[in-house]
Amino acid sequence: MKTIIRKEVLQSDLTAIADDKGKKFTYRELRERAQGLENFMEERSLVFILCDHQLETIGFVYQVLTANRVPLLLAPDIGQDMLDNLISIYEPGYIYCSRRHLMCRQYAGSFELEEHVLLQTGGKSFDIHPDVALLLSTSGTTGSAKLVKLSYDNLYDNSEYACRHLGIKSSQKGISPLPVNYTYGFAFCLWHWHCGATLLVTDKPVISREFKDFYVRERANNFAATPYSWQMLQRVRFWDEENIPYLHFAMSGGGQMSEKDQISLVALLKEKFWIGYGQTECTCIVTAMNFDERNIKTGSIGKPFANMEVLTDKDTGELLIKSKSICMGYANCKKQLAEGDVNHGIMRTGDVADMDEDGCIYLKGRLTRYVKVLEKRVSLDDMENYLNNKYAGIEFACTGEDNGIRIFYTEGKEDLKEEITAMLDRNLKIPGRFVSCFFLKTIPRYDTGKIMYSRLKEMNCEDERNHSGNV
Amino acid sequence: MKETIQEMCKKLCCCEIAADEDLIASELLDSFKIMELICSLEDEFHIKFLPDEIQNLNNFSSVNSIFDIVKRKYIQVNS
Repeated sequence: MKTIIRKEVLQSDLTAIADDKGKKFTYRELRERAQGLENFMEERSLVFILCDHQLETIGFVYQVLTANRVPLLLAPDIGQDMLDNLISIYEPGYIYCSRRHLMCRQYAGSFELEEHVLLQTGGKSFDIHPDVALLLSTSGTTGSAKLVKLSYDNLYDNSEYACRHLGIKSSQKGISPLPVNYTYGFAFCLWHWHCGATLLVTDKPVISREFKDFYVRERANNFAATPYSWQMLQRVRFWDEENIPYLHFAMSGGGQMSEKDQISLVALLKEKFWIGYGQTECTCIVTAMNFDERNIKTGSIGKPFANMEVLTDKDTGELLIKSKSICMGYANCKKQLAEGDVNHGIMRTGDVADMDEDGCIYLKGRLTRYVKVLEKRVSLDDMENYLNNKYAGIEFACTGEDNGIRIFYTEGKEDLKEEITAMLDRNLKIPGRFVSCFFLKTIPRYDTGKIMYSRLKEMNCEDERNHSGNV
Repeated sequence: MKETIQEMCKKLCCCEIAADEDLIASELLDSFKIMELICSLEDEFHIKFLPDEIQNLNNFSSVNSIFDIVKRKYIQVNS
């Protein structure tokens, strides 16, 4: 049996997960439930999990993983058409979702849990490579069918070194508002499980009084959020004498934090504040650092975990990572789930970086066509395909930078701008204020037919901005 | 003022909403959107919410409750 957590933790009576309603699971209880799953779920079944932030759901993710069944973690509010598309491509044996988010009414509910259901689709089991432990989407927003395949070794290796690097221990408690289907959110859970620590769970908004009360009551030690959440927390003055004394580490990752925020957080939380950097393909975080107040290296993503070798491409400056945490590869269809490791521990990140004399890494730009919106990775190619499928007969081209997507289209309807921004907000959860739409008579292309993105980037479209992009 | 607030909420939630509808319980507003709404309200009405007012999410759970707190703060600022 392959494992993702230290063996001594598996059968322990330590608390694995506790919620704000007083419910909890010990590691032993979760192990017993996982054995229950092993009894009725075919080996290596594919299980879609729509991940809300409930104890029952997060416990189920743990059970499926430790039962060596293969979960694909999805957002609970994934659009129906995106979910249907993934179901038709991957034909999962089971789908887990909350009763409120029940989107697959055609399947008879096979297991009614407290607030959730586990649906049996009747799909036949198929070959999934024995090393594949977990599937995560490359682009949570566009519902792309491209999945990252992470192995048991990836998960074990990354969490082992994260625990060492960050000093996570079994006596500690961690809490985070990050969704579990988001790599960073999943990794935060896994790091705590790996060493027998307790994961605190609440679905209350991070800015609410209830979230802070739970945090203070439980004396949480570890915290992780994205830069935007950190901004919100500063606004509500979340950190004070009630919670700082018990804090062990608090991390910002999933996007680049502003210099101003980093300086004020280091001043407030001192060496307890960490900056992290990573990608789904590297099993989340690969570099992390806490900075001394007298030597804040703003803009740096810190130093790599001890299991990571970080290099830069001599020609392009691209950051390359060598590690056992590098994913096995991608799957675009069911058949590719059966394929083994194609990366062999080396990953081109697509990020351009350099390193200072202390070994601290600084990001300088990006080679690949993806941007981050509110710290969610959005593939511009996926978005282009999505829009082309959604609006047949209209041509689309997408460019942009973090928190600023530009959509060019070849249809003169003025109200299409509003329609597109509203649709992206509704279906892909990309707020309209981060999107600008521009009408063009034709999309500029090379002779080969490829879109001239460099030309689109040069176009001065400021006057036509549909929405301001201030965050 | 109430119409403006309702319009802001409608735009943020991408759907028609009733004035007494619970926007948080119905998951139309999450933390990110609440903060976005707060920033828009502050800009529009030249007011500033206190941390405690933000943490009490009942203040932002419906158009009616948002109207109540905005009106109260607007009067404070302009009196």
